[in-house]
Amino acid sequence: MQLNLTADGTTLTAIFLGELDHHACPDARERIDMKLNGGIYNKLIFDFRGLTFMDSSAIALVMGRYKYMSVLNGKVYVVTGDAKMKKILVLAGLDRYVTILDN
Amino acid sequence: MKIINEMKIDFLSKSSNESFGRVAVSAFVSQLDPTVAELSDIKTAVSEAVTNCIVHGYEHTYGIISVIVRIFESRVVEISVIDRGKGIENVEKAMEPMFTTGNAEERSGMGFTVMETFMDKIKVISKPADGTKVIMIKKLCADT
Ligand SMILES: Nc1ncnc2c1ncn2[C@@H]1O[C@H](COP(=O)(O)OP(=O)(O)O)[C@@H](O)[C@H]1O
Ligand SMILES: [Mg+2]
Repeated sequence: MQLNLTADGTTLTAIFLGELDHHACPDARERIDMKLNGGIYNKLIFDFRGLTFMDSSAIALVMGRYKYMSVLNGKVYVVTGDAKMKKILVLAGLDRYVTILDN
Repeated sequence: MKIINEMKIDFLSKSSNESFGRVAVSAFVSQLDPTVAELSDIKTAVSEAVTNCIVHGYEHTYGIISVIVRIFESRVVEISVIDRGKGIENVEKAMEPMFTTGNAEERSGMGFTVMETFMDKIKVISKPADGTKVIMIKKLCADT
């Protein structure tokens, strides 16, 4: 998996490419958290449009960052055009906490 | 039902093998010309089961994960994912959505729910200190 992080003002965008599974999660988590800890962000965007695979490991990754962001009233967005990936996130009720966008 | 084809693979419970497990199953099932959506469902379910062997079954140790795929007549695929790890005390409870014995930073407790959602049928056989076997069945759409 490849992860590109770009900061624009108080918005942090995490662009994922490839396969996001349990093996890929620790690295993604560490890199995103390092960025979040090193700046002031009120908007975090998970861009999953470049993913070719995702399983339930992504739920905890998004949820954990949501908890961090919500302390400072920040918002979290997930962008995914893939119906199956969206289904996994919605199964876990993630849409109650973060905004899931199609593109 | 008559078995038409079968394969078995054994691999070490390293997280770097999660993708190998799901891709190997997907490659074997491809002989049935499944739809892209069906293959995606199977890959996701296998990834959940294999990850569980690594994270929960063998926890901080390494052991062998076996994956057996059987193709039956009328396009029925049966996938078994087996570990000889710590086993599950209460299978019914373990299968409830959001139930996890893992660390909340990493786990969501949605693995079994995802397997149930993406496959037609799932059966879990487990015994503490003995290991866990997850059997998943999916009937593919008629070949076009
Ligand atoms: N192969 C296994 N060996 C031992 N315990 C397991 C195994 N698979 C699942 N479990 C138990 O079932 C629970 C639920 O699994 P799952 O739905 O995949 O959620 P998660 O993996 O996020 O915890 C796990 O937390 C664990 O306690
Ligand atoms: Mg799991």
